[in-house]
Amino acid sequence: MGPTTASTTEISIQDLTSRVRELKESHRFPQGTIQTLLSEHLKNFVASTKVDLNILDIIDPIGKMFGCRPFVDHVIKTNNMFLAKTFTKALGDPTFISEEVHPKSYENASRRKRDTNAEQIRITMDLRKPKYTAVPVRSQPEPAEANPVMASKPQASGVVATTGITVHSDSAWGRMLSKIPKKDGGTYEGYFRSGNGA
Amino acid sequence: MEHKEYYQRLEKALAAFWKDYGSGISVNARHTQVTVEPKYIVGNRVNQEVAKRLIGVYLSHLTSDKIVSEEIHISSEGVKIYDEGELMIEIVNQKLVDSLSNKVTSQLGKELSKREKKDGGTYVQIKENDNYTFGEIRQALAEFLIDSEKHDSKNMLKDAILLLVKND
Repeated sequence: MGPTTASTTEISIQDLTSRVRELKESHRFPQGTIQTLLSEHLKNFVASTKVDLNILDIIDPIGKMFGCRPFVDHVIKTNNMFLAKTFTKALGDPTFISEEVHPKSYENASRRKRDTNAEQIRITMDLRKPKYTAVPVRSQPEPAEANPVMASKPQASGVVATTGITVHSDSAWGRMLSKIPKKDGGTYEGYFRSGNGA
Repeated sequence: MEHKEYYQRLEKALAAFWKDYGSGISVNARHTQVTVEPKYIVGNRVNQEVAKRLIGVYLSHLTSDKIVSEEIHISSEGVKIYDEGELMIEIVNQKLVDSLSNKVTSQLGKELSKREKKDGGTYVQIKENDNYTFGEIRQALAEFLIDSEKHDSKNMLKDAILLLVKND
């Protein structure tokens, strides 16, 4: 396994590994508890700052002990910051993690490392600018949270420097959407008509 | 319509738009299935990725009459999108600008490949996938404008589109 690049990651991984091992050895672990614990650990150290995570360092303890197949397989397969962020958030939903131990996951990681001839497989995550949310579709929906976007007056217009797009009117997006054809016919204009929310 | 209501509707419309035109990602786990969709409004602004996709789709439906009617202004600095004379959005993102240029080039190429020159042949050779280079189009436009009776050479692109549209 390659070295970790951030000391916070290293500490967290060690904490995570030893805590899980401790629980596992004590034979007092309902599977869900440990998986929730894993999720929390991952969420915390990823959300704390911009951390250069070594995916193999994460999946080593998890992959060996529990599998967590969706996380391991998909993140490694895509090696993609966007999906990594998504999965990290999705880990907050314990139902997302497979409860079955799947030793293949660790093998997959190793194979991927070998196939790509990479010393390490890295994904940089920056949750200071979260863009995506994962929506579980077959599990219970979470209660709707107060939307901070709606709490204050929206500010649609302004320069979005990173994309090179300047919006000059609050209604610009709505007007633009109104001119795009829907795939099933019509336009999105209906969403903006008074008395029609859909 | 109040801002709050407008934004709720905008979010719903964006969700429907993303369903049609977004890149959907679905992850199947053993006990659950997770579909990934963007957070449409981030920090009181439309998510940059969604905004880019929206503009891309809008521009992909671009027709030459929108340029002629001055709904879209194209310059080397970028693209300006107007609605009823009001500037809505300005784009200086090079990737989007390039994509629009390609679209215009390809449309013009398609048109010019159908037009017969006075001395025979067409202004450009017909190509698969309408993949014309900017140089080819510029040359063809110049020839087309020379052959055409009325044009204002100050804006070659607009003149050419106008002529092409009017000749239809």
